[in-house]
Amino acid sequence: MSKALLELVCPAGTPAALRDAIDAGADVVYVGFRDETNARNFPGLNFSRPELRDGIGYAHQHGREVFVAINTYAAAGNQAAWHRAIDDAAALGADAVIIADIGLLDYASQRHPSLRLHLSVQAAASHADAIRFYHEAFGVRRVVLPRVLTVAEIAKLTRQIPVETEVFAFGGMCPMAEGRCSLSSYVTGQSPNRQGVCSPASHVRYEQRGDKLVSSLGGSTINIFGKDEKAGYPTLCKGRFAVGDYASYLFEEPTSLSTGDILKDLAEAGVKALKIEGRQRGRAYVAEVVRQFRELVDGLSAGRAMPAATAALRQLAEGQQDTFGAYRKAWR
Amino acid sequence: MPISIARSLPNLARWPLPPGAKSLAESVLNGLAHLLARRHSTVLERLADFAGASCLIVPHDLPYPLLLTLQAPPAAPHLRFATPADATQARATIRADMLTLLQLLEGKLDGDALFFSRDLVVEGDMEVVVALRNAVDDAGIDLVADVVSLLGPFSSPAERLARHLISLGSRLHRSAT
Ligand code: SF4
Repeated sequence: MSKALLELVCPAGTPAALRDAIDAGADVVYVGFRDETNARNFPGLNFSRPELRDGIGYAHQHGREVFVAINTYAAAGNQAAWHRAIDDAAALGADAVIIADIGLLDYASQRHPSLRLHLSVQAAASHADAIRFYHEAFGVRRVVLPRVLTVAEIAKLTRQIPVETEVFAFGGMCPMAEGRCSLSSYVTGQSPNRQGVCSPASHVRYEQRGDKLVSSLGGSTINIFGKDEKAGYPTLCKGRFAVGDYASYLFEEPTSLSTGDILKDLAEAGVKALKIEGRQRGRAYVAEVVRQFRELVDGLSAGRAMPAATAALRQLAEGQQDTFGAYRKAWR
Repeated sequence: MPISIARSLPNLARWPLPPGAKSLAESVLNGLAHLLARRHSTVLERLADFAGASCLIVPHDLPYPLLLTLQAPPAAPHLRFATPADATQARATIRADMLTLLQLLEGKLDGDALFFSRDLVVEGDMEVVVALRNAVDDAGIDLVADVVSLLGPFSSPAERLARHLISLGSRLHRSAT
């Protein structure tokens, strides 16, 4: 594969998805262990230690890399599972670990000085002082930027910091500050930041009422979809709430972030890598999104526009709607 | 990419089973569940926490809904035709047309996208549905390859023949619709 302008960092929730992502052109695949140490702790998902060993072997055979997300906040007084995850990722040959918790960054930098550390989006480090601190204190070499910055702000930031930047390019959005959102905890007692799961499946119910689909979380109705209406994820931030007779999305409609049309701007802003969200998605989805982004990134490197790939990505978006999110703040 | 057996089924799936064939079909289904469990043992491991949970699988273009009951590994899941009483026992229900369900089984379709478009309807306890989806998605099930594997040394020519027939069936189906 020729050296592209942007590195493509792709999700995998299972070994099959990892292989499919690599076959579809991922430069890097990011994964998590099968427990609360990562922010996609979903039933039946994620990697056992032997699966990670084999996955890393497959990636390296193909000249690609694997990053391991250990990006939840360790439980106070009970960090053993997180420490074990860091030790095992290092021992199994992970190319980087993605961490948010300061204590875990400290542990990883002390115990595994040669292990490459990336700062997770869950740390919500959005300005130069914060990012410089993580670099100087723990040797962090890349920051995954929170989805709150415009392209112009990213360009300014990349000039001020001594580390690489990775930005979200496609997939589900967290409209709240990453690593700080308590909506899921409020309704279910579990959160992406601590237990690694927003809106846990155990608390989600769907019910068909005639033509309508009713979704509820922790006993609270969060949306009612009409007959031909596209459905969305059962997260509170995408809930539709009624005041009087008027029901509307308070925070975010069912939509996906998509940057197909602004990759050139992101590359010129100094971004090093694009991250595709979606470790919880099926491998058919992962393979297709990676394939389209491979086209886009290679097209960008060769100076070719790829409008068909952007259109194909829209079909894969939640609710078949996409947005540039904060990259272009149309609401300002 | 091998041609999915699922693609050739739209017409076949609409033929209702004669009642006498029901128990035979049930044995075949269970045999298939055992075969898949043996050839894709990681599915069982991913579903280990859900032993005893049952799930209604409703192909809405077939007259018989199915009840899938997960077992503790290494036992294979149990599959049988559902009875009305099962509706209250099952922890979840999954509904789609037969073709979609088979393509999901083979990991060829994205369950979330089908859910967004309302082509896949899920109800009840989402924990077991999500676990099932993730486990099956990882398994790399290929119904043709899995079934012909029973033929031992004849599996390769049988697989070629089966894929050829499926491809022919798909073309005929496409030209007829
Ligand atoms: S509720 Fe929404 S914003 Fe909050 S963590 Fe979940 S997906 Fe993100």
